Amino acid sequence: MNSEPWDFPGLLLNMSNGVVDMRFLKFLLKRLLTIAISMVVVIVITYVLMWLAPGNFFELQRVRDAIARVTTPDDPAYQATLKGFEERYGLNNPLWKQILMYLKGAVVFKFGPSFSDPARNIEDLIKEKFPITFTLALSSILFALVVGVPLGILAALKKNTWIDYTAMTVSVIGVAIPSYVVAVFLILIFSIYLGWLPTSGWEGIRTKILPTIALALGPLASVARFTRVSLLDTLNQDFIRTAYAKGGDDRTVIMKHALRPSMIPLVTIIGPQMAYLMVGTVWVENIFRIPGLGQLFANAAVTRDYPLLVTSTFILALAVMIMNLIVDVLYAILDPRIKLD
Amino acid sequence: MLRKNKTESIGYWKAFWLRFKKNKMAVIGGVFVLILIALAILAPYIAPYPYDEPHYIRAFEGPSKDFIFGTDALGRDLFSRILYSLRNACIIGFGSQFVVLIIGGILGAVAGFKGGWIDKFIMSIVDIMFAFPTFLFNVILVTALGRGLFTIFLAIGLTGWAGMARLVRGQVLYLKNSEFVEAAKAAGASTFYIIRKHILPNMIGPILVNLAFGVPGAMMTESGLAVIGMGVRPPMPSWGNLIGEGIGMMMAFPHLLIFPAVTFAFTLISFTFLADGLRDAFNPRSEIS
Repeated sequence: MNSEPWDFPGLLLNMSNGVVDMRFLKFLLKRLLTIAISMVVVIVITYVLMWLAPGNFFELQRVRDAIARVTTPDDPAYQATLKGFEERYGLNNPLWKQILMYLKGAVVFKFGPSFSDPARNIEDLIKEKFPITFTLALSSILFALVVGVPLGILAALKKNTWIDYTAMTVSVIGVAIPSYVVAVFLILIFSIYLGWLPTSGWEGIRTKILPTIALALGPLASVARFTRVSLLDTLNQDFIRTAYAKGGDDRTVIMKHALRPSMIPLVTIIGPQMAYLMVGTVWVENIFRIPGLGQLFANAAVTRDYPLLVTSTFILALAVMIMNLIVDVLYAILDPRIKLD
Repeated sequence: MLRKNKTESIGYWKAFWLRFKKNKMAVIGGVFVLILIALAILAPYIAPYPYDEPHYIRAFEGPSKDFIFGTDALGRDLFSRILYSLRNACIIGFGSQFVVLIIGGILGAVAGFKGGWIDKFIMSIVDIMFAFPTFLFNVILVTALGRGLFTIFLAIGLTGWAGMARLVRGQVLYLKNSEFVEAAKAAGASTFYIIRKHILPNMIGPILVNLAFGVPGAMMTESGLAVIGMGVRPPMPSWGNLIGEGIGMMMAFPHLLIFPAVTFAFTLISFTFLADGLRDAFNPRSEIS
């Protein structure tokens, strides 16, 4: 079998021989350390901000109660409830101790109960909601790749024709419009005007189509643009000219020689796109009323449910950072010329 | 006939303009952006009604002569509310980019000029900011600072400067070590003179492009905050609010969803096409002809 340079990924080779590349280990360790530091910094900043913020969750509840004429701040019953509440969530501790206790819990994935649902621990909520969000994000990135890559290839091969111009104009628009606006247009067309698909929910395959497309359109546009540029770039290289000189026709040269090396850099944009997707789930889940992590995060922010807000931020951010790391490692494995640094 | 080989030296801005005006989409985008900015500034004079004035007996009306985009649940004029959404989006878009320019510009310049541990320290903050999903941070900041126009653009600016810092640092490093700066130094130019005459003018292009993309980006974030209920406090309208409200009533009154979504998409696309055109036009390697 013919072998191309990219058939011998340096790192993978070393690892498959049972010899783990030391540079690889060092890189991995450094990145994991950066992730850990980032998470600690973020948690500390979040805690400080919330400590500075006027009005806590309990205040908000009290306002609601006051409207219902249940209790007033001077009421001893109110004072007792407040005290019990503070003790329950450790709010009577100094700030640094609260942060330390949270970090200690986070290491073993224990976050305690949230303000709004004292009966349930947050980690159980996360375990229930994370798979929904992850499925949504993963199916969107797959959709973006499956449609975006062929679209980019088509635009590159038909360069400077109306197909290229249309594809690229559409992709600029796809990048310019956020997923919540795309979601609105999809709902207007497919749910209201045509009546084909439901507007909300997360049961059965039919409810999953619109949110997936809404979330995928931005990354799809980026993937198409990137694929086009990358393939055009590859087609200008010397080895492609050689392949043509050896008598290869368009089909052979593109399929056998140009496509693969031009796809490898695509891996680099999947990382940022995954980050975009995870954040996009916050909007899309709110618009389609999908009971995922994004909705949990938004609800936590609106109700000032601080433990839940910190933890859902923590989990979403951690997911994004870990996926970025996986993508970087994958890229180094696919392209041995890349130095891990 | 012998053609006189006359190579005219054209200035930076003239070359920019020649490149920019060739890109039709960018020019159209730029014209629309100018119109939108004018509408935003003049909103209080153009809006047929105050954005929060209810007309209860005329609630949920479709487009008519009195209300060209129809009315919402309280009978407020949707057109006026969209005009004010545009105004707010512009305030937040430009305001946040001003914050980005100040913070990112200063930190990037300091990192680039000073180098050493200061550079390392600033860049590691930038790395963390880059790795962390900005929108989540925005939500937390807005939760803490409150939901006013000023606090929202401050929050977007405070979380969005990492790209600018990296850009400015890169430019400073590149220009600092370039030959023409070395020549100026050799000729005895003062540091201030070099910064003013050589470094700043050469950085303006990339910085403007970054800001041009930042404006629609900030508008997106602002409306994204409003979609999840963390935008400017009602009755102040925002596209995100209007879309969020429209979703709830889309079956019965689709005009409440269509007009905000279409106008918002139109605004974002105009700004993005302009930014795209600026990027190509500031690239000295793209052709002029």
